[in-house]
Amino acid sequence: MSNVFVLFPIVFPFIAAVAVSTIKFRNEKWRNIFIIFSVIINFISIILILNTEGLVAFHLWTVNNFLDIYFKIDEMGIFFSILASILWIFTAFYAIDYMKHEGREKIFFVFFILTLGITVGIAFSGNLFTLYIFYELLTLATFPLVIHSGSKEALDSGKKYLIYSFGGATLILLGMILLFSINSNMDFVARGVLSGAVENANLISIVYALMFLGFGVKAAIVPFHSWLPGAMVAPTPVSALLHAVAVVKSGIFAIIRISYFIFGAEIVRETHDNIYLSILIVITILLGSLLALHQENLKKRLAYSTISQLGYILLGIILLNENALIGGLLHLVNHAVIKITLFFCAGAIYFTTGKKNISDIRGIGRKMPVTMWCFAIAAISLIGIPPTNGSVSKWYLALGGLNANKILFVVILLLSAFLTAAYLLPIVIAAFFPGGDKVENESRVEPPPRMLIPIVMLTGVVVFLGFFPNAVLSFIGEIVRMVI
Amino acid sequence: MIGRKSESFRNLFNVIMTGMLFLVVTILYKPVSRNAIELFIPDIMGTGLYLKLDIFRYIFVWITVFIWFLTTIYSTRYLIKYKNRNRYYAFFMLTLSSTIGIFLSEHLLNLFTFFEIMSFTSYILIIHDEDEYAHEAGKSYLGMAIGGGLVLLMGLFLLFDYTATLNISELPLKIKEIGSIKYLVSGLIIIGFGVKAGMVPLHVWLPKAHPAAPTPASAILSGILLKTGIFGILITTGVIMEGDILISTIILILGFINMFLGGLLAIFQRNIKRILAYSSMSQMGYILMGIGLIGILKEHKAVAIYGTIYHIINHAIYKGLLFLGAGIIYMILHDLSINEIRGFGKHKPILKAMFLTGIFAVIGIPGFNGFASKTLLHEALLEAQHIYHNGWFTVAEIVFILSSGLTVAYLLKIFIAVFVEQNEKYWGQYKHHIRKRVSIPLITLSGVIVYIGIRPNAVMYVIDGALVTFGLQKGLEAEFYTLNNIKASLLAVAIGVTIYIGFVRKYLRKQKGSESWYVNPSLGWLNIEKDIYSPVLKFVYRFSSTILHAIDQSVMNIVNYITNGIKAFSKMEIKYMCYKKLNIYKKMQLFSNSNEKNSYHLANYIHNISPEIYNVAGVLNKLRNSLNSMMYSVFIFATILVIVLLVLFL
Repeated sequence: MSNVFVLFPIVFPFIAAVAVSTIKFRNEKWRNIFIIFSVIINFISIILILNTEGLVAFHLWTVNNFLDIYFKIDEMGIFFSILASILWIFTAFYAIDYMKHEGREKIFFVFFILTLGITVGIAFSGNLFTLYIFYELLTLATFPLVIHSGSKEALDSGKKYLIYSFGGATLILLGMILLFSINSNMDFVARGVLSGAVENANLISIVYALMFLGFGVKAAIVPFHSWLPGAMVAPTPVSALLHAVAVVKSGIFAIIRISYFIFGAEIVRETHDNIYLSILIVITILLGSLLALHQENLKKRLAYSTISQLGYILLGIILLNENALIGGLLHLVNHAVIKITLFFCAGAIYFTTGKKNISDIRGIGRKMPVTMWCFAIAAISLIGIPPTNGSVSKWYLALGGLNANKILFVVILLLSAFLTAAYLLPIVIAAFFPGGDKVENESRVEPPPRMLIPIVMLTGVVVFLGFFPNAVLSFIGEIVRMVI
Repeated sequence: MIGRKSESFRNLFNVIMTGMLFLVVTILYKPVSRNAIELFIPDIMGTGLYLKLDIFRYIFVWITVFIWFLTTIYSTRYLIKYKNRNRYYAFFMLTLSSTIGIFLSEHLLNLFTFFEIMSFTSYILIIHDEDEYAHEAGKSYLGMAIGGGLVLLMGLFLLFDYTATLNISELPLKIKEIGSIKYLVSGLIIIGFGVKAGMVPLHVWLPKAHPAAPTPASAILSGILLKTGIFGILITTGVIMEGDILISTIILILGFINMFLGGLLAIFQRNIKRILAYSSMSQMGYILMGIGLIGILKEHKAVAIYGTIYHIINHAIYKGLLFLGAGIIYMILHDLSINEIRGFGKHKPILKAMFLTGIFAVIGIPGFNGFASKTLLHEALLEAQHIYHNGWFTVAEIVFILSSGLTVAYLLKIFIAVFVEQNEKYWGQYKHHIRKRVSIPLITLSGVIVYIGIRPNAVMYVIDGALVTFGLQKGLEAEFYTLNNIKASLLAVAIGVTIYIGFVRKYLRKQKGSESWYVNPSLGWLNIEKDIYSPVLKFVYRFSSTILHAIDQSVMNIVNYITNGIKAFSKMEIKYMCYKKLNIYKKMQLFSNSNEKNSYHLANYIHNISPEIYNVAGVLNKLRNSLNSMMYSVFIFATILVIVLLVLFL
């Protein structure tokens, strides 16, 4: 009976979403409170589950080995679900004020809460099939968020997003079917279920590559990345979540699952897929950071930056050694926190001044000092300059690269860090040091506190994780030692 | 923060803070001279914060705090007309703390952290004016600082990978074991630090950043921040690599190039601060030479260590003095070109005396502090010549003396232009501009210069303690005022005066009637930044952008090609079919030449057929249009599945 409780954080958002859409709230305030509460309750319930039950498993519905909805909570799932639900709380606060100027809040919040449930579902999935189901649901649930504004541009981007996502899903499904023909057990077990002798190495190699690329669509791996800059037309909280946790990180999470929990590091290494895929990833890293330089739209620039940062994480995963995986997982957390901060800042600028382009925001640091300070700190962190959290994860990634005897990767990491500086720092400089004389009667136009406080708190997290990464590090270290 | 409430309170607060710090550091000398202080706080940044204060570091810290204290006093006056003063002070203090952090760090990762913080905070000082020139200078500074920082980081990665430690005191032992990869590692680290130290060819930011920054900032930039780079190089070559010959030789050669090039370029400049910036570069050359000699002299390295550290101290003091002096001129006239400020100081005895002290100190006239350190460095060079009997060292000595001559020449150029020449515009007005608060630092610095100049052994005693860091025990007794040393110094002066009269007066100074001005022919010369770095960077940038753009759009393009291909294909088919029909028609015609009716029928038939075919294409088109995105993706899904299943069954 108690195991059913595992479902609560997954099902509860669904119920809440339905409630938001059906219950007639007295006014917006009540609805907002309801939303905030449901997000927080979800977070608390996750914490409770972890504390009371330990590691549990639960079969919801089983037809056969293949069609089996199965939930299991392990460290990796805990890691991802906590990350997602914490960031969801921040975003919920931020979105309440932000969405006022986008309109149609009701629809937004319905899918917003729904997506939370699905993300937790991804985290708690116990086998590949369940993961796949939730993964598809995620695409469908986020689609209305992407096309929220309903403009032609948004619809086009949404179309692109759907086509790419389903294209990827096809590859995954194909991989799953092939995998099932090799091995009927698709549960997630640390170090992989394919242990033992590998008979048809070629087939496994193909399957792995297929699934990697399939999930890689969501993780914006080149050449399947172009939906991500397109999806920038979504409202800022959505793009923040898309980038920080919900979508792209689900792709990465799934890749970790297949690499370390289905195939296992040993087998992946034997297939030599990691070498071919790492070429793609290197291109991803360079392409993202170089093309970010070309973007005039602030959010688009951040989107390309995400592509390159995701490349870092994927590199950490594909290098298949301990330090690299620690670096990858740590960067997953760090990038989530940093990128959500950057997006919130960009959104706050848009919200208060209506400016989207980098050339328009000269001198904005004087008007919105707190926001831009947070932006600056997050930017420095993304470059990987100590003492912020970005530097810690890059340190481990680089060590992982060296452990794998690939100096080239480290050079690329640093090159990309330099490019990161080149595309982010000019924004900060233009914002703070516009030159010219001070314009009189400049009033402060900081965003409302419900938007500002999440930004400041997240920046605090950025710096805190930079100074004291050990808590997260030891947890990640535990996971990594389990799977390698 | 405090400054929002009250300007004067903030100024006082800053002065008191730096003053207190200065006092604390000075008091610390006693305990530090007995035993090194170590501090370890675990858990910060995953590695812990590991600080250490021994005499070697103490010298750096002390000189930092000392110069900082004086420039803070000076700033309170100098900045009075500037905007954003609060920001300036905030970052001024942040830079101070991170600089001290650099000198104290025992763990290289901590050092790197402080190094990066310093780069950023000092960047904000450099672009304080926020005008185009400052931004331009700031851009090259920041670009090079970050680039250098990343190269340094690369070196640290490799170092950690091979030695598994980054504690400076443990590294000398470990690095011996890793073989020749250590050259790569130390090379990377030295390049990283070399950017900050203004090492050729990584110096391009230096002559731009100094004139751009407000004067107190340029004073600390030149006096202290350059030394952080030097500190790093010294640690790497002298301590970690234990004076490896190869690395030392490279540093030595770079030092000579720095020395000579800096001096040569300084002669051509017309902006005082720019002259002083190139002069700093040249003086860094002396220090680098000293570092190189530490390695080359091996057992006899004591004299080189003394010379290097001594010169670091001295350079900080006299360059601070000169920059602050130039700042006074700028504060009054808001111009630094010696064509404009010509003759400004003729009627200003105090300023003149200060400046002269500084100049004598740089040149190394006996009785001023520069003499002591230059003599030691010269001794070290002679020692090397003595040991190796190598022709190159003779060349080196010539370069050394020639550079000293150049030093004399460019300083004479400033001095004569600003303080000796006649200019009816300035006759001693502006007296009221110079307040006591400004002159206190100047007078203090000149006092220190003269004191050290007269009693050079006082500093030697302090440096004794630093020898331990380099693995030496016994000190060295030096006799400074020997006939030979003074002769060498005077020789340099003589060469300098000759260069000045023979070259500067003749070629760089144009005269027209009573008017005279200086020209700068070097403006058109090869500029490393403009002519090499930028084009290469731009080319790489454009090239890679093009390729990556292509990749970026690749999927879209491929899809487009396929669509176009299919379209073209379908059209072709239609044509082909028409063609076939036409063929049939022709054949029919052949047969039915006699039967006109039949042929007409056929033509009609063909006419009917072709719209039908077009209609099929149209239907397809319609179908495609009517498929919305959802259907389209499901369609793709299905297609791929079918293909795959086919492949599987085959």
